[in-house]
Amino acid sequence: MTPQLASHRLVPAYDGDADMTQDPHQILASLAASKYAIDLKTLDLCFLAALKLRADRDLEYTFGEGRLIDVFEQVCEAVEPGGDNLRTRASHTLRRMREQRMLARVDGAGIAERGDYTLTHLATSMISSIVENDSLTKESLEILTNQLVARLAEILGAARRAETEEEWRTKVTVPMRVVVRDSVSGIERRQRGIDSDHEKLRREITDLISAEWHAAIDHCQDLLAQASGMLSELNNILLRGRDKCHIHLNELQSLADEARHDDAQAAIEEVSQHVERVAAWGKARQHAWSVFYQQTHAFLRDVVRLDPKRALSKRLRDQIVGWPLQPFFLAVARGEPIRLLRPMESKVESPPVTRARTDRSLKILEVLPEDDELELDALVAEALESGASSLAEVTEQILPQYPEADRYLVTGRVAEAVARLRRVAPDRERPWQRVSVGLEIEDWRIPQAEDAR
Amino acid sequence: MSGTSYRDLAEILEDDRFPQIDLDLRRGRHIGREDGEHYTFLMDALKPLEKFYLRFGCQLVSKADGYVYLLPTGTSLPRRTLSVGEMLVGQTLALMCLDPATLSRNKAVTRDALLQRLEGLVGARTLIRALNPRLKRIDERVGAEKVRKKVQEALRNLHKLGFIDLERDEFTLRNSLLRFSEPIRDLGDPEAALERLIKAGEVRTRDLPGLSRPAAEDAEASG
Repeated sequence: MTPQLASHRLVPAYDGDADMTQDPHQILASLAASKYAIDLKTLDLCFLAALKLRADRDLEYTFGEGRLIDVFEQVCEAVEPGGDNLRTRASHTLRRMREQRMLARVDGAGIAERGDYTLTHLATSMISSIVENDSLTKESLEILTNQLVARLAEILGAARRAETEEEWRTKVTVPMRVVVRDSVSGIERRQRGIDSDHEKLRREITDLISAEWHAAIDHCQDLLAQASGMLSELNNILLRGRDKCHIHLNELQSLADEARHDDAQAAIEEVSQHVERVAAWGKARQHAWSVFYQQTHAFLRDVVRLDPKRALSKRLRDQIVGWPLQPFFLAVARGEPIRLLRPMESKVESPPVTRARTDRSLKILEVLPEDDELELDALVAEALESGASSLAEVTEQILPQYPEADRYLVTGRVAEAVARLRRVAPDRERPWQRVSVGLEIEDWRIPQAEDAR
Repeated sequence: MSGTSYRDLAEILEDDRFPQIDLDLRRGRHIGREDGEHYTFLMDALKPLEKFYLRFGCQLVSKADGYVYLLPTGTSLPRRTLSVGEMLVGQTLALMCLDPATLSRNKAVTRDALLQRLEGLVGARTLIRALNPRLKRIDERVGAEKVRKKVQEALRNLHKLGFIDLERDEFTLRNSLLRFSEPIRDLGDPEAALERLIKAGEVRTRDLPGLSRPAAEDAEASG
């Protein structure tokens, strides 16, 4: 069910059945947005446990509202005898259980009618985890692994026969995702059970040593040997099961590869990883237990057996307490690091630091004098006096007296001076005249003084 | 060569493991069963190596608890004594090593558990004074912080010396910690045992700077 479709619920819904292969950020964001929370009291848990036990015993999976109220009243009688308003409390509890998604209505009738309810997957899982002690045994593991191998063999047979896309989907991909994953999850669930058992066993052994010390040696050794033997057997069964599973999974992977069925390949890959994880658990637990086994045996041998009255701990405690009064210090070697000499090399005379020689004498540049305006005016006047009849003639006479780089500028100034000193003829057509190398000007005619008059 | 699978000393010195083991021993590291093949190598080559190190004025000491270390008795190889912090932490860890409760956690101990135990044994004020001899006034908050730093430093050094395996805030106890219990290992007089250890060069004594008699009495009271 998607969160949008569930918007009419009293409790903002989080899609618990969502495909966990989704983006984890998306799942977390959705969970946070839904503000979903579980708040159960001991009485609520007892009520759910009573329903679960009843369902398992009587194969009764749906409960009418009246039946639920009866069970609640019985639980109240057993857990909190003498309580008042049981009916009202039952109604409140039912509402809260529905809000917290522990009970689901299954009859599809409207809210005005009394409905039928069932425990949700969430409720059954929670109660199973609390009440049941699902631990792996040699027998249960053998059954589960054989079951898994048989299911994989069935799917392999179906994959060999599958021809259409639909057959691949219904007979390989879906069974792979649902049936096989359930079997692997069953093993994993029991593995968690055995983890918890071992945790308890470790505590039991260490508590036993603490309490009985020397007298606990034989019992502890028996417990250690028993647990080691069981773990070793479980690990062997897991390894054998993993090998068989991988044979089927490899063949399935090749078939899916040939059929180019991506969904099936992904499902097979997922199951392979689950199987690998299950086998890795066995190896890791055996290693962890082996460390504990060795340490405990060493402790029993080196500490408990050699100090049956546990005097060493007491004397050491006294030593620490009295140490500030009578301090002593252990001596240890303090090896200095080995001095490593650099590899031998001939001495190289490094040249003195010098600066490249450059000509630092100042170059004299020819620049126009700053009062060239007056000089230029005189030159222009002189050219005009000598009878120059066009701007081009005046310019041609003056330019050679200037450096080449300044001639372009001077050309403009000559034109300005001519215009200032004489009236020029306003011809419509002004021909372009070459006045110097690479320099042309639009020529102006300059009438002589008498003509102008 | 009797009692060893090596034909002669040359073969031992040519072993690929020897250079690292030799360096570790000279740096004061205690090599124990936890070190796997380094310890196996040492046990196999123990007799010839004892003679080898004697020429350097050192004793290669092997203990029944499953660890080996080098003890300089001459002047050829420098040696040092452990600090106050290292001694206090080391002894407390040795006591925890003898506690079956640490077994259930594969001998892993947290720094907080160690501090709690240490304070319980010697008392908070003595601990602050012993680890910070220059401190004139004891401020509990500042003192506690200084103790944490000193303990952390001691743990790092004990890790280098092969007494513990350090991993972030948690560390694993090694059998070599039982060296801290040497003065009381045999059930005779601890003072006589300490004398013997001093003569053997295993232990040195000196006064604790800054730890006055009343502060030490505080330790007795808390114990």
